[in-house]
Amino acid sequence: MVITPARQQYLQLKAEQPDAILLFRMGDFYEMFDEDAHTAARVLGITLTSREFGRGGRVPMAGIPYHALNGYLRRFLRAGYRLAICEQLSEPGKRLVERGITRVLSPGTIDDPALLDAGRLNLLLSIVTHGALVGLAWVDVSTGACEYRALPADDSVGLAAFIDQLDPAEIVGPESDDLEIDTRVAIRPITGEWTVDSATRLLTSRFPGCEPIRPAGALAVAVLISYLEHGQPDLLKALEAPLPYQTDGIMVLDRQTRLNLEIDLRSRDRHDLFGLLNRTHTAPGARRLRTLLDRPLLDRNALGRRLDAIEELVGDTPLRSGLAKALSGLLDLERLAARIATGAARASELLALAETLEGAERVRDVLDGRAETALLVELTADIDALPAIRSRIRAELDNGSSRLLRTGIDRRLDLIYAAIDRDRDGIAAMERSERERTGIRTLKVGYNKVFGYYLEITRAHRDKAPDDYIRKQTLTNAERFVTPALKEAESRILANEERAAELEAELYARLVRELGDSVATIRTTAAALATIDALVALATVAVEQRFARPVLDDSTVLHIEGGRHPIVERQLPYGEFVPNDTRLSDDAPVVILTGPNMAGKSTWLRQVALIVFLAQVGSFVPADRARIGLVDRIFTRIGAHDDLANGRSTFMVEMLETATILHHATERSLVVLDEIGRGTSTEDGVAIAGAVVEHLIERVGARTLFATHFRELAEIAADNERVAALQTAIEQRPDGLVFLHAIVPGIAEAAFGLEIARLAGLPTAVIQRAQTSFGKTTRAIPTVAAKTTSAADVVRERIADDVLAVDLANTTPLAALNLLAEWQQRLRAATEEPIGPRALLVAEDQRAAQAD
Amino acid sequence: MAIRVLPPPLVQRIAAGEVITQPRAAVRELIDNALDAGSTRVEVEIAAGGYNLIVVHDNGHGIAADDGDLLFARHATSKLASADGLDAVTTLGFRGEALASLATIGEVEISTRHSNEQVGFRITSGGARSPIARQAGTTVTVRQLFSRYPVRREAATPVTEARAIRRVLTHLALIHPEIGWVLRIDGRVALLTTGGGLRDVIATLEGDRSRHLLEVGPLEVDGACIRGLADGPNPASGRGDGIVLSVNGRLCDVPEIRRAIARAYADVLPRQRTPRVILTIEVDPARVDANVHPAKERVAIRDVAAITGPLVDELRAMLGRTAHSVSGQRSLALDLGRLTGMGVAEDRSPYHADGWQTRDIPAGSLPALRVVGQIADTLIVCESEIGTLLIDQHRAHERVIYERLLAGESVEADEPARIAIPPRLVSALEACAIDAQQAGWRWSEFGLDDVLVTATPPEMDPGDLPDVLAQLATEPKHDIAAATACHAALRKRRPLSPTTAVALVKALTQTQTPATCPHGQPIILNLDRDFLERQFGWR
Repeated sequence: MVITPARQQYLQLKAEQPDAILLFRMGDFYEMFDEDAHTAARVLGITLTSREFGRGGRVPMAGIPYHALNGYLRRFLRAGYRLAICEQLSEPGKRLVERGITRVLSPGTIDDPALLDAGRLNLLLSIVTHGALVGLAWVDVSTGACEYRALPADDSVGLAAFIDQLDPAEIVGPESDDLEIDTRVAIRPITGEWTVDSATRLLTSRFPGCEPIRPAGALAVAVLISYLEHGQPDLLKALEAPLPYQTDGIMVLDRQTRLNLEIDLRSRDRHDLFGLLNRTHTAPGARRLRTLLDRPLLDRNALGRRLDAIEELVGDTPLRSGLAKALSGLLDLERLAARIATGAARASELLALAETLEGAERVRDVLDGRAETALLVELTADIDALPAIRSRIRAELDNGSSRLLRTGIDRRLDLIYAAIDRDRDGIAAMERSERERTGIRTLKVGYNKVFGYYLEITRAHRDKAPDDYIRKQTLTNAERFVTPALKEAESRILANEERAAELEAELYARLVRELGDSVATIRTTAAALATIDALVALATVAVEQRFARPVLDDSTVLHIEGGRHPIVERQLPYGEFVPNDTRLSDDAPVVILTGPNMAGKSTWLRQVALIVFLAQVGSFVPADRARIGLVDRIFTRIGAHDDLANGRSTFMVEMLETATILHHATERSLVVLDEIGRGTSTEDGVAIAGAVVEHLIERVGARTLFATHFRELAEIAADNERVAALQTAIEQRPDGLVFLHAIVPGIAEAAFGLEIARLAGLPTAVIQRAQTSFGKTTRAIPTVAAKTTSAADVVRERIADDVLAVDLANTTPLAALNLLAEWQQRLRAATEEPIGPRALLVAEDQRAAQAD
Repeated sequence: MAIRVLPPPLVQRIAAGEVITQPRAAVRELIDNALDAGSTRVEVEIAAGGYNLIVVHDNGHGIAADDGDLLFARHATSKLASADGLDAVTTLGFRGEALASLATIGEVEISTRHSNEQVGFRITSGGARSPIARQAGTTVTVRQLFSRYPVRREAATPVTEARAIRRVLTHLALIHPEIGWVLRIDGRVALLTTGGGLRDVIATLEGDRSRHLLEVGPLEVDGACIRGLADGPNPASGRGDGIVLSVNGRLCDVPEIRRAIARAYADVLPRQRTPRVILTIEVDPARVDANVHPAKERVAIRDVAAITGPLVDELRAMLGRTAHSVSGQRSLALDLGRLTGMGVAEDRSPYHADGWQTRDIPAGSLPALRVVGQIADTLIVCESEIGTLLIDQHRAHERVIYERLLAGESVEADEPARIAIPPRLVSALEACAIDAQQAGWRWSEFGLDDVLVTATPPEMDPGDLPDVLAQLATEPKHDIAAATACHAALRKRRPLSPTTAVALVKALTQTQTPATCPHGQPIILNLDRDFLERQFGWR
């Protein structure tokens, strides 16, 4: 087999980036070969074919058209692949086209706005083990913001939870490490040698003013830098000095709790807290809001500053709506700043920068002299609308003509353009001069993309063409020619255009470089705008959803009046969400809540946790009034879910989660338990749940909300004055149960399991069987069962009356048949469609679906 | 008071036949109920102007479960027991017709819970009823209003209705500032107040532009109490909602009081200019007849003169208390500027007729005219038998050129001209290539950035092509002929010689459609007799 030059070129380029899929530009397609072709066919769903490189050298191939590149890139990146894009660097001719890798992309190293999700951080994470520690460093290359942290290596659960919270798009780690961490994105092993010494040296040279970083963190940052250097060294120019991840003053919230409370499901289709609060007008604002939700605070002063600002925005409608108007339409200043730092910014991006800085000025004008609270005043001062930069961009970039830079910026460039103009005019003028010279009145000059400029003579005059005319193309009724003079002018134009392009690129690069001096200021302005946007969003939601400012203090009190679940409330029709109070204090920090399924237990538990969470984000809360002693951590154990992937049963998951709570909860924590001990036998369940509650009361003293079916647990409350027993209010009526969704003192009488099973449409035979056999051993069901005269029974009775009322002597067989048909129909309808309670059930289903 | 059916004689006394003719009326009736229930918050949501959906949600005392079955019965109300009651209505609703009427013209669902009861209920106009858990208060949902009355549905477009409903809510928010109001139109919050003083609410609704309003009252007179906010003698701008009145909490018009306000402002404001006045009037219910208008939009107050006299005095005193800074020089030109949307008054040369002799132009598509002069270097003034005409010189010229272009006039260039086309205009160039022939342009492709222009419309230069394309790019709905005409036409703020003006007007009278420019904008404003009479108040 002969290796053709093209194949050889491919293999060489592939060797430069062996772990990337190589997209090899051939004409109008990007082709992938060998293993890459198989991968592409699988991931992108494109056809796998093959191509012959010389005799016998057939290899698998798959290709994508050049104009659809971005769409396919997005799919590759979402699937986690690293990509190298190879372009043709010379014009196609007789010889082999020169090719080279122009871009390397991976999920965590995207800076092209076209490939990014505007409202989300896109993080590249590195993980390095160093003794008993694991160093983590992460960067969003689209903004350049970088942070690092070290965690103990033996806490793989904690590590996994933290990584999950970061939600990185890509993870890299030294090949030599073999960490067993459960991450959603596989760790990409990279080769290299990193020592603490070399890492520290690298960091001090790159970030001279930066505080010294401890070994684990330094190694992680060094790995991050090596990875970027290997593929996209330009991105490093935007890299900001790494900052230690702030854990002081930040409330920890584990992954399961975030999911249980539906804080940020990172999904467009599902309702979550982020979706409710995201009334931001800019992409950086949306990202800032996400960060606020990611990092609830423990510091009362910091929270007070946020709440003050929001209170001012809530109270001053003209200020709030003025800011909303000024913010809308602003572009992503954070990412623009990074594009300028890396030098990748296109002219359109610079013009966008100028426009957005003008917008920043409008935002400042709205705030200036009006905003009074400390945080807003500080943010206002942070905005620098950089008028000099704006006018420089506007002065140099030509936003209208075919030229990149305006006339008058550079004399050499103007001269080249003048020469191009002269030559083009010269060619245009040839129409007249050549007509005169040849005497052919129909002679025309023209241009087409393949042959360039030409002179065209109709067929009739073909013989009059002078000797210096060189034939280029024959059409049906015309001939096209070039002359030496025309050719000369054309090649001068081409050469000048090339010179102009080079010079322009140079001048443009200089402009971008000089703008780079202002990147730090732009970033400060961008950060201020993002925070303002997030605060305005929180204030807007507070006004529209009637949130109230919580009172925060250092007590362990939790008093909520008229608390609501903000997401469930939005899903229900007007007025149908029933608000509830919550009162936990030092004396009675524990609540045991009993009540049947679907009566609103879970909603209440989550709503209390969400209100505390929102308060510590610094937001107003969905309640009439709230006083909250700051919480150091919110623990939740809600719902049943197996972890089949790890071979854990529902019960095992329950117990693991409960163990975490018992180990980590303090007297400042908020613990929310929804049903524990359900995944095992009733006896064991009650025993375990009882012991857990006792431990929480006696040893931990955390504010605890415990919902359970086990009546026995609620009876603990009777014996312990530190526990309050609450139940969900239910009204029993002749036509069924009504769940009032009100939380009231007391212990629920019954679980109403059978009633609910019946409402849910369990076959009547099963229900009856349950009532007769199981009912003997279980309390409370008979009282309910006795009252359940179903709609079907009523219909049956009425039909019986009708049958008796028929006068058989005066009924024809046909009429009798019709009557029979009608009765049959009524009976069917009655058994299939229980009336009354069914409607309730539907509403309940929705509520339950929300809550789960 | 429980709901009961009104005795027949009372039924006959009640004026209205058909109560609800438009969604806005339904919204008003339902809001009246919400206010009668002592609500402190009222939320309204509409979709498609209320034709598809109206929700009125309140936090009032709700409806007792025992009253549920009579909700949709006609002339059933909890608010009026006998004919005596009608003489002193203290509630906004009283006829017992709103829900009954709504139930006949749409699908109504009521979800409610009385504050004294634990369980609420939901009932539909179809008769289904079920118990539910909910907050105290009432939510009325009306779907498919007028779906069986297609004529009514066409009476007003959803947009018009939405605007009207928003106006009603705005006025209600002003006369009941203590209540929190929310209006959602097609899912978006269109109005939101949180309850407070009138000044807070007006700042929320209108921002700083209503800051200058002055306090009126409280004025106690003849058993009535009047208070509110009103314009000073020098109102900020013509915009605003005019006079908003309420009597005993009902948003309504009292023509006598409206006239009294006009009287008070007569010598401070230009005539025909309505002042901004928001007044709430509390008066003995026995003196009020709210039943004079089917939609309760107007009320009559017995012995109203006893109130209006002191009100005029109070307003005059208030106006006198503030510095009287009204300028007597509100020129007609300024108002015209507002009327036509052109900042004419900003111009330095408002009028010149030096050297102009009146010139007659015979009738064409316009009546016979006499050109008199030019205003603001922008408008040509003409007299005619139908009135004084102001002609926008730019648009007039545009029309003239446009019709010539459509006639197919084209001028061959002596020599093809090479014109560079900026890349952003290439798509405009390609899009209009076919129309261009029609409009007198001819060009061929010439190199990457260039075209070779071989023919142009009359009076155009090949070099105008990029500008025409740029113009075209900003108004994709129009064709290249319109863009060319616009570019070629005389600009605003150009002084014209009398000869030019006359030639232009003459040409305009020769066009087919002299009244509208190719972009569909008016060319001529006619200050006819009627207009002048209205503006000067001669009538």
